[in-house]
Amino acid sequence: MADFFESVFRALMVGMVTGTIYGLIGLGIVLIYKAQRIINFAQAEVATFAAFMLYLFHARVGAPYVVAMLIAIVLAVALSVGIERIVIRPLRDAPDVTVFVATAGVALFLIAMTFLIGGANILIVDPLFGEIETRIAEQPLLGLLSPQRLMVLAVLIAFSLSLAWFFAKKPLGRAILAMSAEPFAVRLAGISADRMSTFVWGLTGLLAGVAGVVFIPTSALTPGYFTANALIPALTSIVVGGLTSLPGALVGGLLIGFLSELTAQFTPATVPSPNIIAAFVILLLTLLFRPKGLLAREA
Amino acid sequence: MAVLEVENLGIRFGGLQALDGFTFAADEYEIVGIMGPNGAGKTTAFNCISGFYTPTSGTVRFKGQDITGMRPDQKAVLGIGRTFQQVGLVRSMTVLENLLTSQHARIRYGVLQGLGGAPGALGEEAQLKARAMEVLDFMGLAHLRNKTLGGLPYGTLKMVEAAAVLATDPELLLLDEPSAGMSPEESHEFGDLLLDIRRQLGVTIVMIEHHVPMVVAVCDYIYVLNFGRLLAEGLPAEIQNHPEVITAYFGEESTYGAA
Amino acid sequence: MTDLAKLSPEEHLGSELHGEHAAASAEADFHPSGAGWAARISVPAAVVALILALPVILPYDYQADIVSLAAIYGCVALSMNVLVGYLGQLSLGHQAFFGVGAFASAVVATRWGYPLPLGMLAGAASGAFTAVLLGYVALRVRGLYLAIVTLAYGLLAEVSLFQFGFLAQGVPASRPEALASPRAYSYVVLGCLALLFVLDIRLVKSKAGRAIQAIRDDERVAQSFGINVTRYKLLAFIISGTFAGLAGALFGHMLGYVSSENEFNLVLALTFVLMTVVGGLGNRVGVLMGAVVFATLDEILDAMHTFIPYFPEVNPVVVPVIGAALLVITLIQFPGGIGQQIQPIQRWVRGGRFDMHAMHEYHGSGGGIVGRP
Repeated sequence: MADFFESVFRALMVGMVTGTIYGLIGLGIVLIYKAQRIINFAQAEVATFAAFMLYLFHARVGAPYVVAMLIAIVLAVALSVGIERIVIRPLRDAPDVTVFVATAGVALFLIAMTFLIGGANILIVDPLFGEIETRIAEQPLLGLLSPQRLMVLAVLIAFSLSLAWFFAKKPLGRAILAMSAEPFAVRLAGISADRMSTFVWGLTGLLAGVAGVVFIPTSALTPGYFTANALIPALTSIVVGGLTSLPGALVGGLLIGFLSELTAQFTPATVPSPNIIAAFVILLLTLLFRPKGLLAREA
Repeated sequence: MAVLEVENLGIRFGGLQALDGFTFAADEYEIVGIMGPNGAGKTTAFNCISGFYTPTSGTVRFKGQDITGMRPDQKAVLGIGRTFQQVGLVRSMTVLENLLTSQHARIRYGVLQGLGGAPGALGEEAQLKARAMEVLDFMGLAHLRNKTLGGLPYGTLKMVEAAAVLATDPELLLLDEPSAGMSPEESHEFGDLLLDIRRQLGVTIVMIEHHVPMVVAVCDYIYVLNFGRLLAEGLPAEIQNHPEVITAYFGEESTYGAA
Repeated sequence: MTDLAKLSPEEHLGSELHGEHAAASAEADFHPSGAGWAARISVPAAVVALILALPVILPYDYQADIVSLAAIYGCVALSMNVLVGYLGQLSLGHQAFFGVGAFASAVVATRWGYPLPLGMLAGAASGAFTAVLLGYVALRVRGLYLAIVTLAYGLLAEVSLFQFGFLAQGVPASRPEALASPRAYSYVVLGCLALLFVLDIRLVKSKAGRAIQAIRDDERVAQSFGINVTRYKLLAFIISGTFAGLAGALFGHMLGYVSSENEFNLVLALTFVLMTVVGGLGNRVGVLMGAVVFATLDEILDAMHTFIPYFPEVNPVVVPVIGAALLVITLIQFPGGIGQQIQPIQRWVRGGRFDMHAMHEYHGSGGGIVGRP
């Protein structure tokens, strides 16, 4: 019995952290989807890019950790804005699927580029402070919540609160939300579609950059890391939460994180990658039986 | 003998009864018109009859056979052709390819025979092409056979759609606002074409139509829908002067159709 | 059926069309002369002859393997073309069908000891089966949502299915003595490619191909033409899966060993997508050319480095970089891909005039995935 609870608790601890990343990346995807009806396949790869920049500036160039983090985040924002300008804008009138394929091309491009930086090696990025697994009060389970992992959760809370405030209170935030429902009205209100587009993409670059930089020390860095490990769970999260629901992305992420870890805990070791199986099953079930997701208010 | 018998047709979407107790029939070689203001349920009725919606009540009979629950493709196989408000053609194909595709219901060879290039399949393909050219010639469209639909004017597309449907030699034609978007001259010509088709090919036609002059000139009998219910039925002359019909279309104080 | 030819064709069209009549008729009725046909046939014949000669005339054995790889990618391109081009369904997990074919053939032909053709058949059948499962999902889930499912499906195959039990250690995929040489084997591969090419031609010219494309453009219209949408959607998945499974089987036996080190992963799936899009969706020659380019790009760059002065030595990783850039450029500027660029030649070969303008009235079927040019 104690084993059962220990497994559940373990799933909760680890799942919350991975779930946060799924949620943050999913949040970025939902944001762009709400504003422009585009699914950004490259969102996770921007996070990987930021992680690589952190590695580059801290481990190779030797900059202080926090400075390297900031540079990485700024570069992620710049990258995202660049993608908007070079790829998204020319395809403004193209069908949604075309833009999706284009962002897939961008993701591939980024994966290949990061290969040029690190080769095929697995890179280790140091955490900001402390060891990965520390012992808090001699409790092996709570020890899973290392300072770095706690930072991930803190980031989640900070972003949730500030985005909630931004979208509720600030005119630009409300305009972005209005975009998906009433694009014409938003234009009439005098807000330039171009500037809004740039802003939204910059914001999602920020989300991805922070996610990448904060999470990567808890794992190992390889080219395409976040696309391989977080994109599909993130997409599952937003399908579960509802493609147009911002809080849904975060809730969905935590849910998927927890459920996939839980499945992994209770599946025999002979089954490979049970967490992916779990995410896939959840994705299918949601699409087949509740396609609008749990929290969406509009189609 | 009635080719199409629709009895008590009704459909409900959530809380809305879009169609209620609609009964009508079309006899062999008749041209029947269905009229009514926007939102009256005309296209909904068509969708129920052709199988895109499943009615919540009522039956649809084709030559005596109950076809109420069938899928649209099954009904096409039986010999029912349908046109759509926005032209119902395959946009990426040429005119000729559209006519080959529209004859799908008539093809007897199986998929594997087609893939394998069996002589029977190749022979049938040649027949399909010959038939397509026949219809295109009949409608004066043969010179457009290899053109993609993209550059063609709307009126021409409507003709191509008619050709596509005729290529299968249907027994019943369901036309959804065939003259929409046409100029008065064009719809007059189209009306003549319909009469020709009926006379020379022996088809029963049921059409949804707004264009009153064309309906009056072409239809043998008219049913008028309003708010999902049958408002009136009768000969064109009767319907033209029917007070309730005029009210439904034009409001209380209208003098349309008087004298 | 009423014989319309016997009826009097009454002119119901407005007179404005009569002027076009003559011009359009002339164009539709153009026929090349005997010499014209000779020229038109000799060009593709020369190309085919060159391809068939390659395994013999290339100096090194390993180059025959590259020819095989290009042909294998060509088979995958034809497979993608059926699903993405003809049906209009984006497939981001195509490596699943490819990998399944490789593993299935290796297991049946080598591990279980059946003859190689049986293994290949098993590969094709497994690809078909894997694809049709997805096909059933496609009946209920659409568009971008289905694309996400295909993405997840591919990942599932990569990290879970291909790691199951003994598959995780890899499976040897041998071939009989007669085919041990890469040159001999490449003829088998080219033969399979030719087979799939002919099947694709037959598909498009028969009711199945027309039905699938009609479904892509407008399901309701397809139904009103008598097309059973469920049946033909599943058929598209089956055909696509069969082609990809066969390609996978050919791939496995070319390498001699099938394992997760072959990386049946997202990058491979994206490479398949981009070679098909850059090749030109809906155009079988175009997608083949796209496949050949991507299969041989690093060899080409190497050769350029060897033979062109000052040409830099290029890291093979650059290939996906170039590929991705080409994909984006294609989507933005040249939606019809290579297929659009070769339209004038294709029209000419089929018996039309040579007209550079054909590039601009591209009659392609990318509709749905790439915007019409």
